[in-house]
Amino acid sequence: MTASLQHPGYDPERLLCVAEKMPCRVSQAGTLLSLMGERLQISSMNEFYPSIFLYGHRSTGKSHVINTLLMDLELPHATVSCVECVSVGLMFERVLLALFGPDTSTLLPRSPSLSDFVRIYRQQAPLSPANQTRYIVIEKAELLRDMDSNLLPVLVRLQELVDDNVTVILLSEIVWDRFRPNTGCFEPLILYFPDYSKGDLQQILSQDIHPSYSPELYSAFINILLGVFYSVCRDLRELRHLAALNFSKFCEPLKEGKGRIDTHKLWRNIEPHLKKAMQTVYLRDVSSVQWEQQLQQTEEKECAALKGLSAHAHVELPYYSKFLLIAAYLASYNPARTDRRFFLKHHGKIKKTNFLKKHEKTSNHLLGPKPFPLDRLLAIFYSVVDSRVAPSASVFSQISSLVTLQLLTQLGHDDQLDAPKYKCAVALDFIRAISRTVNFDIVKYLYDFL
Amino acid sequence: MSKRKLKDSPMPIGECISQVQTLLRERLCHQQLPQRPEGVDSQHKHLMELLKRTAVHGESNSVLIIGPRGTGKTQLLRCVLAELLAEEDVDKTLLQVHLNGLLQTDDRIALKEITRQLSLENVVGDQVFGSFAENLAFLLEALKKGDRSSSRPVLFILDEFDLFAHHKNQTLLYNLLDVSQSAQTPVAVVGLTCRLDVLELLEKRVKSRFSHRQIHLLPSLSFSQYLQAVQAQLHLPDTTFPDTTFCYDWNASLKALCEDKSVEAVLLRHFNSTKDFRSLHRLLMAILCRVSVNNPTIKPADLLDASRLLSADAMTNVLHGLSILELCLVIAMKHLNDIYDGEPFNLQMVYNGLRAPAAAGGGASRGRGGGGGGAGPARVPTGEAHAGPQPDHGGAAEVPPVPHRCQAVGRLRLRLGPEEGGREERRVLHLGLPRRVCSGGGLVLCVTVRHLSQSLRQLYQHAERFYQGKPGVKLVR
Repeated sequence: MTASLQHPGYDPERLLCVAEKMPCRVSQAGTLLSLMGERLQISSMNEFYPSIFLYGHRSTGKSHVINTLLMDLELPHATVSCVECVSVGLMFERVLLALFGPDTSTLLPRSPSLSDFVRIYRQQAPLSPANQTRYIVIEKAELLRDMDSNLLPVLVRLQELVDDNVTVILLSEIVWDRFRPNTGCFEPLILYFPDYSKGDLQQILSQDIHPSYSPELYSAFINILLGVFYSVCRDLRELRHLAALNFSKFCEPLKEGKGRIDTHKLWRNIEPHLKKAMQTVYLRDVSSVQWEQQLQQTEEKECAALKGLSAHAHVELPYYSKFLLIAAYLASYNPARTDRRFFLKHHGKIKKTNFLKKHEKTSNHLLGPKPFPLDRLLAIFYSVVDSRVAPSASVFSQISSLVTLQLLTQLGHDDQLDAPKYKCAVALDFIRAISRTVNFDIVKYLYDFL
Repeated sequence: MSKRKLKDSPMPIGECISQVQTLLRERLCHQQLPQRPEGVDSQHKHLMELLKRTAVHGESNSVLIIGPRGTGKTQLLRCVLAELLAEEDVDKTLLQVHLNGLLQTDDRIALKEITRQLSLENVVGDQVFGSFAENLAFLLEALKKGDRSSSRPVLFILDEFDLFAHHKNQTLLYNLLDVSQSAQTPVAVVGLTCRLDVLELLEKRVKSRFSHRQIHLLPSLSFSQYLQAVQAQLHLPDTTFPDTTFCYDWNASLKALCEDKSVEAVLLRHFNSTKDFRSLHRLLMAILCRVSVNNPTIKPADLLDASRLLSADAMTNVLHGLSILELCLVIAMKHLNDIYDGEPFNLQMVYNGLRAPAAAGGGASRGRGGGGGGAGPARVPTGEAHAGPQPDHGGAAEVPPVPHRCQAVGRLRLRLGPEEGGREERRVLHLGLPRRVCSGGGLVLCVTVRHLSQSLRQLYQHAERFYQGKPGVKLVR
């Protein structure tokens, strides 16, 4: 969309300035502006639809467009993000503060109700008459659903309730259908913000140029970056992060002073690096500095770093504890009905297919560990361990030390003494390593691997 | 809006447009009251009569106005009130209390609001009420003090009436309706609700005090009336609009618009989906914002565009913005949903479902059981000894096992890619499947062979090894 923003009643230069701030969103901004209507002389004002619902994926510029429009065109507005408002009181306070100045928010009683908010709004609105529509922008509106159940229906028809020229703009990532309450409510005007296309992303990302490199080079880098990540991630924010993270690596050969290097060679150089970065898209479990350090480490010793991460590789347990853990794993991942088949000598021939129940068709490993009672754990334990073990206090204390080590988790309250329930909290790889040390083939005993 | 009459000198077109915008926006957004609501004459008359009795003759009453959202319940009430207040000596005596179930979420708040709206605050101000009950008792006392002839009538308007029924013990409703039953201060209780079963929500003692007067508002427009309403909504008044020529042009183009076939089709679709006037207003609003200096009249294309904008399927929009990876996840979830009949599934299962087709397509042939703890949809590991091919695609897993003798022919599809990104070749093998059989004759084992050396022959050997000696198996080369 190359059409520039045009609207009567606003200074064209200012509109041009606004349009520059939001690349690739001009048509959406145009729609919004025309909905808002033109600015008129004092004493007459344009009515606006009571509420608008804007939805679109993350980082498609919803808040940016709205806020830029409202800020730069100097319209009276209040922007509230639902994440910040842990209680409705906070939200009311912010709205009143932004619309009517600091004095009004003190009028709110402690833990204000919707009724109080509307009452104070009605009191204040005639005191500070605005010749334009007031806007209340609510970001992350999907969180409204978890707040007071009346809040959303009130907000979408606030105009009628406060009898003022006010418009509520809801911004959300999910569709309106998921908002509608049981008995229905006023339906807002619904607008969609489409995602940026690949070309748009290229254009936007190319804007934050590194000062010491040419725009062409940066744009080429963005092109490579999008080629790798576009199929996985279309989130502008994330892509921007990735671009910032990897650009220095991209420029390394240039910095080393190898003269002019064509982009193809640079691409060769960066490609493995980007593939590694692919593993961490969206997962910011380490900070970007750590990530760069980690990368250097892995270059030095590829596998060693990976192994160092898993502390499980060198867990040492007492002999019976290992069997207890194995028994716990079996109890967690096998259905109780199959115990007979695995641990009874003369169980007869039972086929897996006959066993299948509808809900068991899926693998138990996918469903995660299931809780089991202590009795079952011990029964399995006695049958898997080689020698005869007397049920002594030491066995029980080993169970509780496994819980302390967080290899088992106890469910329910600690005070449940007669029949405590546990879950096994280790992964398959770990338990295989453990069972290998005691020469126990655990896979043979797992129902999933029959 | 200014009412300058410049009949002779035409205004600049920009000004005309802004006049149109102001006028119509007021109509569409602010729910400007019409002279008389259309199609609800009997209801209007009924309500008018009831309220008049309270206001003029001091009779108590209670009534419920019931109708779906957007049928004009509030509009009707406001029309009646406006008409009522226009009468002499009613506007001086009648007290109004507006409550909304959305705002007054419990009886304490409602009571406070009533006190405020009746301007009894200064009376209450001196007294400190210990409890809700005391406060209520005081208010009731104030209401009861009068009698039919001397005290001012009070009109209680309860918007979203059904929400009041959820208040604890329905104290407020009980007391209001109780006052309206006894010959004390004349009180009219008007409830507005969109729930047809609202009476079921009332407790017995509350229900018995209600007069059981109901006014139903149901949309009964025919399509031709609907069209007329559209036209009336966009019509410019000849007498008050400053520029006559522009007004004339506008109204003429409007008439042409309504006679256009495609426009009629769009409106008919809207009409069939909802007769709600608010949704019509949304549509007209979207059209109105397209009117500008360059485009001074409404064209059929504008209406079509606006309708497309509003009726776009939100889910499709959202899906369109997903990246390929996310789409794959959605597909995997849909698949799981089909397999497990809508039972819940977890992330691990979705991830597994995602990996399986991705691996089959991407050309990776990893052995299973190695890591990750997943034993998901099995791929056939080409080299290693294995319990046997199991149905991929999950679809076959839901098929009940068929007896051995029953032999069905399935296809073993091989995808041969010598190298990554290389040419792909598909061959189809026919073999009888002894163990579990496909749905509708189509169990497809997708096998990916990475290198040509592990190709068809090896796979064939594998299949042979597995199927050897099984009854009823025939390997077709």
